[in-house]
Amino acid sequence: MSMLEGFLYKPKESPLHKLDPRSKAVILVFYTVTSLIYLDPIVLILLLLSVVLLSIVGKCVREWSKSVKATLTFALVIFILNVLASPGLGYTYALAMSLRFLSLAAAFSLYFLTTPPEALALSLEAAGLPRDFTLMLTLSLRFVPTLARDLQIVTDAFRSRGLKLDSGNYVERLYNFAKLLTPLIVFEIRRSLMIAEALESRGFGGAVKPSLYKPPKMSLIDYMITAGGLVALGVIVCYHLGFPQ
Amino acid sequence: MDYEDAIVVKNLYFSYNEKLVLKNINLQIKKGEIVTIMGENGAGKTTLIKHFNGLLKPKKGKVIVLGMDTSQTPVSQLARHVGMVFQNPDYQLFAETVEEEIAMALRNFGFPEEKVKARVEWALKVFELDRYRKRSPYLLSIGERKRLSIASVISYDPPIVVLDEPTAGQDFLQKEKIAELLFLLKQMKKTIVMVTHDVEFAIKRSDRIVLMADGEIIAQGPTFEIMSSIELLERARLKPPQIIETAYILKRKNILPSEISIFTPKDLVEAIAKNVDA
Ligand SMILES: Nc1ncnc2c1ncn2[C@@H]1O[C@H](COP(=O)(O)OP(=O)(O)O)[C@@H](O)[C@H]1O
Ligand SMILES: [Mg+2]
Repeated sequence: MSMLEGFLYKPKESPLHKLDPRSKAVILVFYTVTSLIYLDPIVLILLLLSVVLLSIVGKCVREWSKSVKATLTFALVIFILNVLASPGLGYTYALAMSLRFLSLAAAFSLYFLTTPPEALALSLEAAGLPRDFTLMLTLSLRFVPTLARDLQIVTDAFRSRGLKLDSGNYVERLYNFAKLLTPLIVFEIRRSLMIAEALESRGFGGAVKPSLYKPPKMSLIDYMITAGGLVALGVIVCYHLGFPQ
Repeated sequence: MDYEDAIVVKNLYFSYNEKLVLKNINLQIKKGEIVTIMGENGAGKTTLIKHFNGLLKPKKGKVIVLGMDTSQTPVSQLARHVGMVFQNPDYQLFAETVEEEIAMALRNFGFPEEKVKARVEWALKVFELDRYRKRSPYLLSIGERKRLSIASVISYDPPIVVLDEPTAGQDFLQKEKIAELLFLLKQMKKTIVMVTHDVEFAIKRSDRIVLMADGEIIAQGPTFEIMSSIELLERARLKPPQIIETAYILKRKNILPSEISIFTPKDLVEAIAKNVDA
């Protein structure tokens, strides 16, 4: 669960928190594209280091490092799998693949840590996305802690009836975890129906387009970052594809 | 440690992350006793009872259950002795049929198959779930789901039974059934720990009341003693039982003498009859 915490918004006062979700998204796209284009460990390490710097600017090193720690395990698995699956490509390739995963996870974690889901939804809506979609996004982020709590309650009930989740062979364990999912899924479906009813009874989905209490606004810095990010993105992509002659 | 004790809690402290939720809890529950823990939402009642089968381990202090130190005993072993029924039945139903739901814990504790069958039959009868044996637990009504969640714990016959808010969300009839069940458990000489807000339910069925507020035990004692102290109940943010409140008003208005103790409707009627005669 501590891994999920590293992807949940933490309100703080920092330059990164003040930025508009859209300008931050441009930077995020830049990171994503760059780490997908380049398989050079040096480039990927540089990317990762710059996310470290940004997390210091965003004052969320502690929360951010939680998600990074959790993804380190996955990165290690990716490394081993790559070494085993494609021995011809060498360690550098395997290293690059796991660094790619790590830098992507790190960048996304930082984005979600510093961006309130509501602000993200509002700016996506302002950018023309349908309201159903943005609501789905905010709700799913909003219910992560609730889901974690539900999982705890179900696990407690399960263990109280003598079931063990941490012993037995893999088949047994898998079987027990599957049992655990039954009440969880039933409960979450019931909850989502209740939420749907509550939303509808408060007029969600009506014919009128709702007004915004606080329309999202880009500052001068946001515009500069957006422009800079787009230019950098263009340069990277062109450089990779070869500049048009 | 007294052999008579089912649960002993000594200087227990507990915190989730940094937040202190239980502070210096001291409690002794004797075998065969019905103890009710009361207090407002967030007082720490659920957190406290989760220590009784080792789901939570003390940060400081000790919890001893039937002579076993919970911090050194696995949950699976404690659970055999302490049956825990949580508040919301929907979080506790795992099986495909009602029958299997009841059998689950029995099998986990390694009961022989013929014993499992016998216990399942017994539980289906006692809890009036016989008709639904092949049905999915999720298709039952809320009252039936509650009974099933209790049945699937009582079926393996744990000497201690802990119930978290057993009457929450239940209608009058279901409450009566749960009350009958408590009576049955008492006959079976079980130790019962119950958490509830329901003063009317608690006053009739508890030997002893423990009042909690803000992570601490603010009072504990025989049911009539705690229930007749309006100040204590107020500190735990509980509304006094109607009979106690009525008697309190009558005494304050000098309609009844203040020294007589009134605890049941019968007490009240007798007291009034006597004073009307006088
Ligand atoms: N899993 C948990 N993680 C963090 N805090 C919790 C958790 N469970 C309960 N709490 C907190 O502990 C306090 C006591 O909760 P609880 O024991 O459930 O109270 P009660 O059962 O008396 O209503 C509350 O402030 C609650 O918010
Ligand atoms: Mg509770």
